[in-house]
Amino acid sequence: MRLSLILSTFLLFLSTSCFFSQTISFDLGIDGLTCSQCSKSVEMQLKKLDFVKTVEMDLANTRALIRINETSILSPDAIAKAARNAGFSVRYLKLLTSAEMKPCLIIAGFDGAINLQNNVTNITDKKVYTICFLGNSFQSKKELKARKEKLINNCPENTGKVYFAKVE
Amino acid sequence: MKIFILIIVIVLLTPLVNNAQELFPYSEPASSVPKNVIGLRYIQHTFNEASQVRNLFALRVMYGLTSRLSIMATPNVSNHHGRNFPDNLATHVHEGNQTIFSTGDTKTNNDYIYKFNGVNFYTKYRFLSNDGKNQHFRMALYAQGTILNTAHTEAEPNLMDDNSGYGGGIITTYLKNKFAVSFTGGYIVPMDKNGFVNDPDGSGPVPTRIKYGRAFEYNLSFGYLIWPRVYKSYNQTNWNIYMEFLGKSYSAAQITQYGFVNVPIATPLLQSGNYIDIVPGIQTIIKSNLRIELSARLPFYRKSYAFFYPLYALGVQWYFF
Repeated sequence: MRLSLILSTFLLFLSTSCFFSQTISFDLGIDGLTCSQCSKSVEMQLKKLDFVKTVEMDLANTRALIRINETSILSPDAIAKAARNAGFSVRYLKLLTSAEMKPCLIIAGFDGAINLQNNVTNITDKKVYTICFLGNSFQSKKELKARKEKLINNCPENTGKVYFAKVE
Repeated sequence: MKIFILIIVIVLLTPLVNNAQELFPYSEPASSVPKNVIGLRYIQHTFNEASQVRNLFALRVMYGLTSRLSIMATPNVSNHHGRNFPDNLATHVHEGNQTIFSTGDTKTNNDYIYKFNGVNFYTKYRFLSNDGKNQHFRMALYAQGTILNTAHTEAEPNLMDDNSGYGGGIITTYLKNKFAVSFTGGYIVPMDKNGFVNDPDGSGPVPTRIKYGRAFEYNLSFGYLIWPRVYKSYNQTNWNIYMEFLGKSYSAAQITQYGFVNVPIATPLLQSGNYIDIVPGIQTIIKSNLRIELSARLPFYRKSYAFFYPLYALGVQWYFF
């Protein structure tokens, strides 16, 4: 099974798009970090977000493991913005979630929610899977450029603000 | 001097496996203050002028207005100058390690009282960020302005505590693992200073205006993380070493009296000049926030007449997240 199988692309007209937090955590890779003081700046910016419960910084690998409050509404954009506010760039943003948690995706402009599991195939044997957000806000330009053509071809609509997601 | 060059070579050749430091004691990096974060920085500069100890005390307040735009204000106190010009303004020279063989009067051991000089305002906008894992290349534009009430007596302008004026420039910073390098190029436009000089014939104070030299600044800064070898926790105390080269080229000063009489300049202190100083420094960062650094400014190519060597600098900084 290919971990990097692209299963779905989601169009989000984001003024208020968000996730319910039946999820586990976010894994945030940060580019440009060069010192422990810089890491602390990112951590403190992340901790200002309402839905963030704890932040663990991996100083050696310049990434943050963000645990969230389970009853909160989540915003991937806010996480990316927090990293930028600290003065750094997002290398990647992944949502680490459990298949048992039945996460649902709320899309602004749509009625109801999309159950990710209905769109996910070939993962029924997995207990935990990762949703990797792809887009200008969530990846380095270099990586995005490499994926862009493939992603656009898979996107049902490419107007407005778009989240691309892949399940790993 | 060779030892400093050797240190730089060693730094360049050392395997690059960890994070770098760009928190230079003197030069601002292209990176910005985190958004909505306030920082405080205590600055002290100390040197001996003959037997007189000269001090500058400053408190810099920093704020991240946006993720790219930082603003700073630095009020400062020093005993470098008086409020008015010395009577031998156009002829004075310095003693100590700046001894100039001149027939002019010597300004020695003027016991200036400590006084509030004014405030330096500084803003920096990071317009380019090319970030990678454990590295970045960034560029920023900066502008600064200073409002002071002090009677600086040399041609060389300095917008921290010597001159009112304004300036700006560009900063380019590159970091790769443990090594950081930054170049700052800027321009300083000092404002004229009006005051009085007592006429030698005893006829009373003479209205006097001094037009200070305009200056180009060019600073090249290197930084290197020496400890820890690998980051594991915020509680690890960081140790960094720095080597900065601070250069300046400035034009000559002009002194006029009664609004039209050009006073002959009889001292090199008021003539044009250029120099490059070298500033080795060491820094520790405690709990990933409290930053303490010591440095010594030494002449590398010619010298400044605006202060005496070595100029010791202490910096203590804290961010309020």
